[in-house]
Amino acid sequence: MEKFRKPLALFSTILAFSMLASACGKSNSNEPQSSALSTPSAESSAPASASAPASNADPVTLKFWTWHPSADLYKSVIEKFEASHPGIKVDLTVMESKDFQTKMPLALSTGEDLDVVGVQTGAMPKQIQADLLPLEDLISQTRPDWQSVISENSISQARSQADGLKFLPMASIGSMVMFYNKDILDGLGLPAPKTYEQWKAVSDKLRETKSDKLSVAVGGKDAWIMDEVAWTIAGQQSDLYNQWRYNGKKLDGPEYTQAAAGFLKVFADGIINKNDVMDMDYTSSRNAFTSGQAAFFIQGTWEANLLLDSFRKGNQVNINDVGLLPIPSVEPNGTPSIRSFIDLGLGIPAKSKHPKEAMQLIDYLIFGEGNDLLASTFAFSTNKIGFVPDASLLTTPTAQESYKTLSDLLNHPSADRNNNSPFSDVAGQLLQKMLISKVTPEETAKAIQKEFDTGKYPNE
Amino acid sequence: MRIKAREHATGYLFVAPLLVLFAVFLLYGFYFIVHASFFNETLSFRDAKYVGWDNYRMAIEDSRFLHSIVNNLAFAAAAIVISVSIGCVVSVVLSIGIKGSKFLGALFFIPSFMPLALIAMVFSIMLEYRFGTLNGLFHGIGLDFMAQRWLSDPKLAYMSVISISVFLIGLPMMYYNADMTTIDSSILEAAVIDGAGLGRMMWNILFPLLKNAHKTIILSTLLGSFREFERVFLLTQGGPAGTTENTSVYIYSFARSAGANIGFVCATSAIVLLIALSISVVQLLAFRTKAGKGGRR
Repeated sequence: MEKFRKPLALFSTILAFSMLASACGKSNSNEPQSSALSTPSAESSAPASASAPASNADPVTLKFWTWHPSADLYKSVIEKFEASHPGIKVDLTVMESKDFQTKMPLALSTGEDLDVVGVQTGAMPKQIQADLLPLEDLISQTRPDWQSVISENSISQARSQADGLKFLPMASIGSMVMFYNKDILDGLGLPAPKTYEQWKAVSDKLRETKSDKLSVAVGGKDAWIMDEVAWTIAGQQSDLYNQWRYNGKKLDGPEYTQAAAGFLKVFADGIINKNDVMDMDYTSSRNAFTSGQAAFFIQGTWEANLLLDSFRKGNQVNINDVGLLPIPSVEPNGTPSIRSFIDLGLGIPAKSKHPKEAMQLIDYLIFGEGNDLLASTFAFSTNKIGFVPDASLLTTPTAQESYKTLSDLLNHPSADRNNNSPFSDVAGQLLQKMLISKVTPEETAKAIQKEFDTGKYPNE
Repeated sequence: MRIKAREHATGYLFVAPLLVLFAVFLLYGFYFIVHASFFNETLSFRDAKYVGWDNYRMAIEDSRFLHSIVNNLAFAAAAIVISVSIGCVVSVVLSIGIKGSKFLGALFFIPSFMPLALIAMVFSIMLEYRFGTLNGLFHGIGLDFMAQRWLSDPKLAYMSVISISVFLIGLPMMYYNADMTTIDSSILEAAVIDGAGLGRMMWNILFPLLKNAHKTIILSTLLGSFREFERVFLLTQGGPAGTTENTSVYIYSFARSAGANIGFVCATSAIVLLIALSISVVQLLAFRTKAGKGGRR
């Protein structure tokens, strides 16, 4: 046995190396996908020429990563695209927003084989622009009249986000708005609140009647949501956000202090019960509303599909009628409003092997039928000029009125929702601190400005 | 006994795969973190701008970061106290062979084998103020005053994070069980003959004799605290308002947004790495003494 020991040791080592090499070797299988609508064909793994035309003989599979709308909403749209473009298949991956913000830029910089990527406005376009193709020529070849299809404002906003046109915007979105459960308001005998007093009356009545319903469901645990709510209140008074974002205005002045005080007042007046919401995140606050446990739900316009009866029925939302309103102005002289900006951009990675086919998909999703289909789900508000949703979708007067309110809010924002995401998380945490301690709005505003001055956060 | 050079070579051949993995994934990882910490750059790693020690300065000046280090140590200290007290007592009691000890042992071990993320998620749902099952239970049995803001009151949130350690005593129990098998039973028999009760035997004999298990638990828990992420992130997200934030959650909060300065993230990681390495050195020194003197002390 002894004489076999060394050969056996050597053999074991070689075997171990072989197994290691095999395990690390390139696999033909695809990476786990959060949602793969189409199974990539065998041909798609072979290198393809950049100019290779899509045809039945040589189908192309486009790898498309994004974060919104959901894979469920995309499914039928992608199927229609594939049916109308026989040579192209789409391998879609939809990630959670925060995951997407880290994984996608890293994937681009490491040369991941991607053909179409979602682009979030804010800090992302400048971060990844070197990895994206300029789109002016490509889109002009695919759709010469593209500039007349979507709003001029959305094009100029897209151009302002990077050096040149590096992505095209599917939609505009805004925040924060307030969805309301009309069943609960009807039960209380109160109207959908347009003033702060009416809003407070709802929470007062819920308390008086010892209702088990929550007044407002909002993700108080998520710092960024708190930051968005505070900026919405700031927007009721001025375009402070734009002044801070673009002109270097400080946040420790009277304007933001007033916004922080207004934010605190909503909690102090019991309209939002901090006991109830400070341990709720986005998902749990949404669940509280969609299960009929809350009168109001504060979120962005990307949740506007809650207005659709068809969506509610298909997604176990136990509310008969949902409406949408801006958050009522905390101060009597304020104007209820939201911040809005283009979002859901689509770009083509510079290393894409199928840029022409990728542009066909982008064209379909931004300028073509795909955009109409997705916009009809109310997952976003399209930038297409003259888009009118199918009237049969808005089944109640509340939904019809809410759609008008939504359009009006998006078209007349108080400021851009051109977010600085890394800072939003930190500012929101300082606002949370104000809610659970004796820190004043003045001190909070100063702390937020001081944190911003550390230089840890980009503001490009 | 001298080991021949050829045997040395064979030994190195055996550990070579691990060394290669170590070099690729750890040494390069360390180099990458330290190198990137001197730059201002995003996750795209383009247009990196050299900023010298600026990222380190920002980290050290950030009271939130320092607070997160303190939290790491505090959570580790609490986990150690729980392991060394509850874990030790439960192990000893179960080793006596009381009725149902195998079932109880399995019950204590199961949470240690479950993903921590799952445990944290379940607790997060259970401990919600408005819709959580714990408060629901209190309301249901008429103990309304017991319903608390377990995750949104700073002090209670701290306690909630710590309380999960109670469910994770399975691993410390394994250390104690292993160490108890090395105890000479004649010592315990002599104590029984001398009339020592369970309490005295526990405190004056077993607890000191389980010193090696204590050491292992203390150092592994302390080191593990710098890797811990799921428990805090999924339970409180570091909140309310950063109260329960530990270093992992702090670092992740700066890495998760588009446009974030990854150089700063690397600088904070390097500082945490240094602290963890210092603790490892203590661990090495502690075990070297044991090896030098040999045997159970």
